[in-house]
Amino acid sequence: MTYDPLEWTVRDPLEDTVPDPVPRRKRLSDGRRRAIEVAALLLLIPALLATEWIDDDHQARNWQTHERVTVVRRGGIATLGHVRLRLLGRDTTGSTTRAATPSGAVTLKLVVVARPLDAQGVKDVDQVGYTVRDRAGHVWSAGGSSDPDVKPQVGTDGQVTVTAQVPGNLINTVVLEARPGGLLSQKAPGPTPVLRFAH
Amino acid sequence: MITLKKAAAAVLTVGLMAAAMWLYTFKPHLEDKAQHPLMSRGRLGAVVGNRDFSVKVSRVDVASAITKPDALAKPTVMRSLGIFLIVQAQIKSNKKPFMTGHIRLETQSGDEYGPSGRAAIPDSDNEYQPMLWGPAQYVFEIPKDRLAGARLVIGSAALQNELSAETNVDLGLSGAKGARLAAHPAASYELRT
Amino acid sequence: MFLAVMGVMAVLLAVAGVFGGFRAQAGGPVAVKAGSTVDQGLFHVQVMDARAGRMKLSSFDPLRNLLLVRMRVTNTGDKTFGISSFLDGVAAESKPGTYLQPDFIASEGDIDGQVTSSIHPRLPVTVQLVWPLGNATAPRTATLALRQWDYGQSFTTDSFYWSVTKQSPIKAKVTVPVRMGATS
Repeated sequence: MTYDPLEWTVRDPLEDTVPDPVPRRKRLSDGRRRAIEVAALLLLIPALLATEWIDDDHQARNWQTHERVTVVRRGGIATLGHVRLRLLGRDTTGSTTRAATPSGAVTLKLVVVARPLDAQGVKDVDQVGYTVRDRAGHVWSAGGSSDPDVKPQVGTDGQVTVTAQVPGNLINTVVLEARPGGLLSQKAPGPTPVLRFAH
Repeated sequence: MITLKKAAAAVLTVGLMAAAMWLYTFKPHLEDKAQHPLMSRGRLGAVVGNRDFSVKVSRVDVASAITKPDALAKPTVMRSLGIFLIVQAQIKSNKKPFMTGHIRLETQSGDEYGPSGRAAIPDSDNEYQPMLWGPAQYVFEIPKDRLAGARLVIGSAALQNELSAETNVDLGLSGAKGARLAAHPAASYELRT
Repeated sequence: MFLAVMGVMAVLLAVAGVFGGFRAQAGGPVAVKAGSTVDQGLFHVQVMDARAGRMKLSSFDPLRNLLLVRMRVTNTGDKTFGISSFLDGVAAESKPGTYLQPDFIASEGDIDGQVTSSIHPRLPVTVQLVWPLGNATAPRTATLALRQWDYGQSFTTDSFYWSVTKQSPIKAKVTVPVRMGATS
């Protein structure tokens, strides 16, 4: 360090290293500060992740089928939109006549009585989508067909035969499910009503 | 006057920048592959499956022409400039009704051949139910030199199939067997309808 | 310092000039005669012949005044493409600047006489393109515009794919003499 007397008479404020004359608050000690930082991290990271997950879950609801299942007891009647449905019985004799059926499949026939409750119901009754499912959650496609010569009318029961190809060992344990299909499936947001007929 | 150190630093800088730019050219291809469907691999004769569906390839035939019999008229004979590859398989769904799609033959050279597209060859049904094995028949038309190492890939019918499940089955056509079949394919294969 | 940078820039410009300049690609469509092969990027196309007349394409078709052009098409890519995709890249120039798309339903591809709807890599297909003429007389020579296919990355799915649109630049214009009075 040069100690030039002439230079020392002109003080450069930037060269000084004297403690600040202004009084300041007492700072936190290092240990305390680190403890507070760790506590803040432990709170904020889970909070951030939780908020993100909850938001993603709400968004994903719109993309997934959000269903509200109503279990109908044996022989009971239930309403799906504007149509009243009742499962009469099932035919498990299981003869297959189609050439292209997969091996091990048997034909299951279920008889459903559908009554349109109003004019909208008359349009909806042919659009109901049927599937069959087992306890484990496997789903099979099923098609409903009714007599083409009989037009559905408000307040009148019409018979619908639902046919599905299922494995032979499950023919007595699968249950029928009905969902609104066709144009109805693009209705208001919210859970899709599903009727599950207990066996 | 530029010193040796500065010159070396300049050359190194330009070199590293060039290397960074070269590495950056890989980015679009990596982004492309990141969304590809997830493959389960297997061999001819074995069950290849995933959570959505399972496939069992039972038979592979190679022929230079396909004959389609007709009950009323003369049979239709389709000749190929390459060879026809006919694959018979059994498919079952594992959860809910499943529709197959994006069916292709992957060759060792990286080409993907779709089903033949011949008007006279009917498409097979593509909906499969859980726990029930259904039949499937696929006909491909490929040049002779692409037969060795061909693999069959089956995916779902969804148009946007990013990260969906696909099965990739080795048809056992590598090595001597593939070369022999490519050199001497069957003269004709009769299509069963 | 400034002079040094200017010197380097001058040298770089000279080098760029030697290598062809800053033009991205050759300008304008190339005019070719039928018989030579045009590279559309994805397809190699050789226009074979053209014929026109009043005819029925099949027994269910009505009698129509049609222009038919046959082309030999080879897919040089690594994926199968449909005939309809190929048709997107071809147009007939009836008047300079007016481009007409071929009839998608009537045009078809065939291999050795058997109809096919797919063009597989490295397996050539003969494509017959159909333009209905209505009441107009058939031209003596037909001019076909073959567009350039572009290989790019999809904005939404990040995957690479070949595509062609009505705005794609025309790679080549092929003139082919038309045989009049065809009946099939």
